[in-house]
Amino acid sequence: MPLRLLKLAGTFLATVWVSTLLVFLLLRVMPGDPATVALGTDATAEQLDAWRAQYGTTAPLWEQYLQWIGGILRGDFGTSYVTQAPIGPTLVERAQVTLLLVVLAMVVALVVAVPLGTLSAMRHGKASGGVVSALSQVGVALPSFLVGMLLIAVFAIQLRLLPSGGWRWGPDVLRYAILPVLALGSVQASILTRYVRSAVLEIKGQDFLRTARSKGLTANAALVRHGLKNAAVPVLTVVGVQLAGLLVGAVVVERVFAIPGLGSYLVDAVANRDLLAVQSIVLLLVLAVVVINFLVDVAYTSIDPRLRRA
Amino acid sequence: MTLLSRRSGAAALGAAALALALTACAGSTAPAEGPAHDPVATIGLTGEPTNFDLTTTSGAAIPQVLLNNVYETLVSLDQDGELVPQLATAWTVSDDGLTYDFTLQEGVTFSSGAAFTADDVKFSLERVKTNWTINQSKMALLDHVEVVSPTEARVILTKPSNSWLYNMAGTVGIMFDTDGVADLANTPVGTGPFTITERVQGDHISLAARDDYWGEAPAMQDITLRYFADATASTNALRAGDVDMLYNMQAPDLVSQFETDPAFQVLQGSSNGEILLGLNNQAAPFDDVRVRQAIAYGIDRQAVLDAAWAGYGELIGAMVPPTDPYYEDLNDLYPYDPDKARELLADAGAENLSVTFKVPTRPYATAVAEVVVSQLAEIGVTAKIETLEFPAVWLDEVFTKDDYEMTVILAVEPRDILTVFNDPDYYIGYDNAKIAPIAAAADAGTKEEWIEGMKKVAKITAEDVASLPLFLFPNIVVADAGLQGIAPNAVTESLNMTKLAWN
Repeated sequence: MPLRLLKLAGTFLATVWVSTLLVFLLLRVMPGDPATVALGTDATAEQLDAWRAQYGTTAPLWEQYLQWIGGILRGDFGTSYVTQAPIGPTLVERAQVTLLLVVLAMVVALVVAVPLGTLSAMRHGKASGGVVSALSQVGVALPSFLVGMLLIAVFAIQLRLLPSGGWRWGPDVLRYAILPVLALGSVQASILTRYVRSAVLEIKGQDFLRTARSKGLTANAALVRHGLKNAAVPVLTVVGVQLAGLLVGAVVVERVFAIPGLGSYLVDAVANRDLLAVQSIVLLLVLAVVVINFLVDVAYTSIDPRLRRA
Repeated sequence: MTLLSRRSGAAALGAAALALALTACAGSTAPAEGPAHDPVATIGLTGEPTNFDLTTTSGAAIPQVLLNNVYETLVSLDQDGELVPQLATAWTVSDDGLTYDFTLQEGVTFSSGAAFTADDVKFSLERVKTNWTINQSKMALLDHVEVVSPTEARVILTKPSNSWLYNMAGTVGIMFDTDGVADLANTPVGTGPFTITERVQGDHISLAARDDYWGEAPAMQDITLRYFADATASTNALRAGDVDMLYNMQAPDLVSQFETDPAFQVLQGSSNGEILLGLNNQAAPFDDVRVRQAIAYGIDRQAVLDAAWAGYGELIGAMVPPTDPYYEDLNDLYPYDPDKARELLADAGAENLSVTFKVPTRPYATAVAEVVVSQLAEIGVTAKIETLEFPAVWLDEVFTKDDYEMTVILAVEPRDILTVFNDPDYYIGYDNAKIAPIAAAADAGTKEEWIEGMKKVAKITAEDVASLPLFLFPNIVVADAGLQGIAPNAVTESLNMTKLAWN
């Protein structure tokens, strides 16, 4: 067991380290000069050089990299060239927003997808199953920003029940979160419904279910009591992948609802060549993906005892 | 059966939760109709300031928020572009044009409580040359400032200038507190009627009116500036009543829905921004004036304006907006004449020309580029669009490296005709041999000489088609019909909120 953990930790650290190297190097290869972007068209060559000296962007690459990593290990994400504010607190602020949105969206998606997908699989070949399948097909084709805009048009503009966008932490936060969560969640629900359906369909014809039925359970009870856990493994994989993708993929919905989340932070930082911020955000995202994968692994072993052996 | 009951149970729970949430919401969003309107407003903007230090960070976003609202200048510009007193009640200029005597407003305090005196004038103006990393050229002629008395400041220039006082209405003329520059990026300390109370990067900036402001108190007590990356999100917010005004709207095709709605007002103000079709004068094919003239004849600027910017904006014949004192209508210098264009191209041996058109990722640029490409195709010029990320890549390739043939950009700086054309090292690379002496004499001469001189400069650059100004960018404002005191003309970069009030 300890060896397994060590190996996991080792892979984790190696992944994170290689991605820091990659993002650091890629950013320096990208066209565009952070000094000119910050100082604008009026800057003289001396002023540009002074800026570069101040922010150490002309130091040798390995030196800049080590300085950055050293800071990260001490918990210091550095100060943004562009906002002149420390990056750490901004990162946390923005990540909190996206995290809440994405987690809620996934919860909504699962709450809808698991029952609907199972229903659709169980009624496979009948009308109701087909309807759910068709609806989920439409849902997958609809982009989340379109759903978002429709929701705004109905609930914010027509009915004036909810704000059209923005974000305020505090007692009102759910009012700001409902529509974007629905926009993100509806698409995820459609995707997940289809995976749940296909996973349950796979399980349906299995021998162990026939054994359960021969013990006296009804078809449905057999499926629910014994079958669903088996369907959970592939669905969990998809949930993990989708969750990781949503962390940045939510940027479009963030734009539509004018929400200050992580995706918008990343896009703006890239446009402004705020190199340290981009590096920090990407690092956070890599960490998040690694953690999500780890949690999915843990979930697998808790659901399926056969996976507990190394 | 187990599944059915579980499913309907979950559905019932979900429906109940949704109903509960909605009733809670419905109760607190009564639409704001009725006679009295709280003195608060929310304004929707694009282009968020990255920090508050306009002495080191370029761009219009910071002065949009701070100039005239948080910071003030000695002199200011009214909506007609005329100089009016702000922190200076009166001023005189010596006959040789080198000495400016300002009489300062009394009883002015900074938001820190410190009094505003001539020491702050000296500190602020001299600091431009020593501490600013941008816009230093606007204070290049400053020799020094003398503190004559706490309410009198004397500014000495090295040479007389017709543009210096005008520049004093912009950011370089801002009056800073000698003790208030410790953290300009986060805490601006100014004499203006508002202070920054809250800032959430990526979301909003909140301003509140000061109760110790020296002048007329603003009608609004609280103003929130909300930043939108998406134009539709901003119009949705206006429709939903979440913002009261959109300023400098960047999506004119979304405006028509508000024009016919009596609940809203649409204002088209002027700006100092020219949409410029940049032609690299120092590289083939645009080093030949005939080719540039062909482009000028070959583009129907009214059609570009109508197709790309829904007709909002004004046609200009030179890099001079109608609000400048030396404006002259030169729109007829190059009327749309594709035959003449083809003739000129044939003369120059440049038929079937192929050029790269470097277009920045900006809504106006992509809109304009498409129309220009199709019009140029008619005169035998194939313009191939290359999209460059703005600002980073455009600044790098076009502005710094001059690696382009044709580009399009919004030149926002006020009175920038000399910046753009009077410098062969600037990315346009226009040969300024003809205009340099005229411009120098104009700046040093009397006001009349200045106007005449600048008119000549404008005419020469227009005749030479140094580049082609396509149209003057409008300042589109869409607001709740009950809002008044809006300043639609963007005479400086400032979004002046001091007179905003509810009907």
